[in-house]
Amino acid sequence: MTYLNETETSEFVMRLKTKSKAAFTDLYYNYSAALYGVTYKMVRDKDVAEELLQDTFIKIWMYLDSYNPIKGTLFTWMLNIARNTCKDYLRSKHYHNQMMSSGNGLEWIDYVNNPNLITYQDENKELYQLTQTLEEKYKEIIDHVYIYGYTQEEVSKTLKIPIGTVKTRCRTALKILRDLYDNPIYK
Amino acid sequence: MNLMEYINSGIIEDYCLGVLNPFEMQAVVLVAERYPQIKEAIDISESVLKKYAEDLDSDKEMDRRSEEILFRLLKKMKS
Repeated sequence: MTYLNETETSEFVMRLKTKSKAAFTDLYYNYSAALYGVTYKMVRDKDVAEELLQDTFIKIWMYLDSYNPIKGTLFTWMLNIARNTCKDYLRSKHYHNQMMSSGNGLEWIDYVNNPNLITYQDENKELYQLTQTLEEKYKEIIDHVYIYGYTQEEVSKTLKIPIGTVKTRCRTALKILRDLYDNPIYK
Repeated sequence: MNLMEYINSGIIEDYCLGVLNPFEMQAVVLVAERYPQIKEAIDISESVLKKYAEDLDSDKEMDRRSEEILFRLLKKMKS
């Protein structure tokens, strides 16, 4: 797996702040797949995910000047924008109306407010991917905290797991993923 | 500072997962600015999380649609 080193990441952020079209294109190619992955997981509709991905990139571009490493890594900061874009959509009137008219009910939206409704039934296709190599107890924590953006305290209450265990599992999950991705088979 | 101890403490993971408070986040950034090894550890963890997110797109939709979405996006941004 390749990753940007210290100089590259700092230079990349500086270049992004010049707001050139080339810098935007680089940003898009670097992060669109990851942001789409999270967006799709949250809205579970390809067309909607595409639209929301565009909205996310427009917001990223607009607010790029406000990015500061104190707010987290560049990807975590962008992920936050993507999550909020999805949450705004899932809370919107348009989404409610669409769900009502399609007869799907409103159960999808509930996981925004109720993390205990998150399920993993739609993820069978990921069998050969890293998301499936994590043990369930780590995966549910990473997904709640990192993908859906719940606080560790919320996850502790929802999953009825002591806060200390949530924190330990978060760290362990990331360490496991790091080891897995270092495995040449995933490169 | 014992860098290995710092790396193994789990604080890098917490920073990358965004679960630290603003004061702690700032402390990590300061340490990373001073010690390239810490910055490198952060970069690796960030890349791992990015890959994890990419794998959520199990149909690899973006492999097919990426160019078209970028084209639409650039058009939108012009207007």
